Amino acid sequence: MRNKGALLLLSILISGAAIASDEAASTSSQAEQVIGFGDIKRNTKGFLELKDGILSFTSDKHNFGVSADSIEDVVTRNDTQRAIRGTAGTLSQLAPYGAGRALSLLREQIDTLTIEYRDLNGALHGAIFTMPVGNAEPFKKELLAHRAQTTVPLKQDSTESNRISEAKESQQ
Amino acid sequence: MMRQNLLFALLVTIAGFSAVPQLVAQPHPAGRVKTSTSIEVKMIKAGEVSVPAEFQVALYENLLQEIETKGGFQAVYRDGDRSAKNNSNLVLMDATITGFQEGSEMARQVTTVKGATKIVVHCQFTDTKGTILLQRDVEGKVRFFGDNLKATQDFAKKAAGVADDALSAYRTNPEYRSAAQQQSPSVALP
Repeated sequence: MRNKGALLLLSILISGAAIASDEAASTSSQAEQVIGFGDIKRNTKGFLELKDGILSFTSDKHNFGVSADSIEDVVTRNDTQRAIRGTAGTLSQLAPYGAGRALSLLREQIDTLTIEYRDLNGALHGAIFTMPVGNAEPFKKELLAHRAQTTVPLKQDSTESNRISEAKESQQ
Repeated sequence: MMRQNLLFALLVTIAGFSAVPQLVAQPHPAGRVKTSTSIEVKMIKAGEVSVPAEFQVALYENLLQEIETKGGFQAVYRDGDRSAKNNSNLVLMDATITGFQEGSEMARQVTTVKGATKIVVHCQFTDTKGTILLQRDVEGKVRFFGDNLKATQDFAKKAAGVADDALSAYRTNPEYRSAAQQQSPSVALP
């Protein structure tokens, strides 16, 4: 009898923990807001999170979010960017003895997450985020699970980005 | 005492004169006087060209920002904005990408002659009745420095200039005249 009681208590605890983890389920990543998310300045670094169907971006000065079901298109892509960016990156090209050119070759892989969403007035906005490689796809999956829409189904995304990079290489 | 009163009256008059220009015209921070015409910018269409989604979005967002900065229009509406529906004094901008060549930032930095990114966008401006006011191909490029998305900023700056030309074309249009008359019947039209 005592064993049965302990078992019941254990099962209640486990199911409770499962419900709690479901409620707190969220996708998050360090990200850079390139353009278009609310009034946040372009190229702002911060934290992107999808929680309870709300996609929100938080930086030191800003916090903005949109509901996943207001998103009409979500597309991911894999790309590269300069490892040394901004003024330092530009000035590094002036380094002597071809060192600048060598520095230009240093590039890092990034993921791009592009969304189109409508505000309460029906106006269409577009926003672009970059984030560490491998982080954009989970966002897309979660957004689609929360009734966001896409013009590029999940499997096609990687094929699409490969096709574009192949075309890019053949042009060079 | 009388001299002091005279001086005071003089100061008041000077202050009054200096305040007059502020009451007469309220120029936009960019130095331009806004018209009563607004513009609705539609989402950039990819047409038959394969363009990454981030380029489309960056073209649209940069364009909106540039047109707002130029300040020629009273209001700049986004695609689908319900506030634009009741505005008859409105120019509509449709843009379709007709050419896209994605270059390589690395190739630009290494060779300085290769790897340019180029976008060609066909821009069409109409009034609310669908009359075409102006259509033009606008090109955006990034040749030496900067990432590929900089081509979208180059396009936006040029396209905002074309939007100004469309505004001038609209102001000679009968649609504008009737819309402006409805808004303020006493205003003399050019």
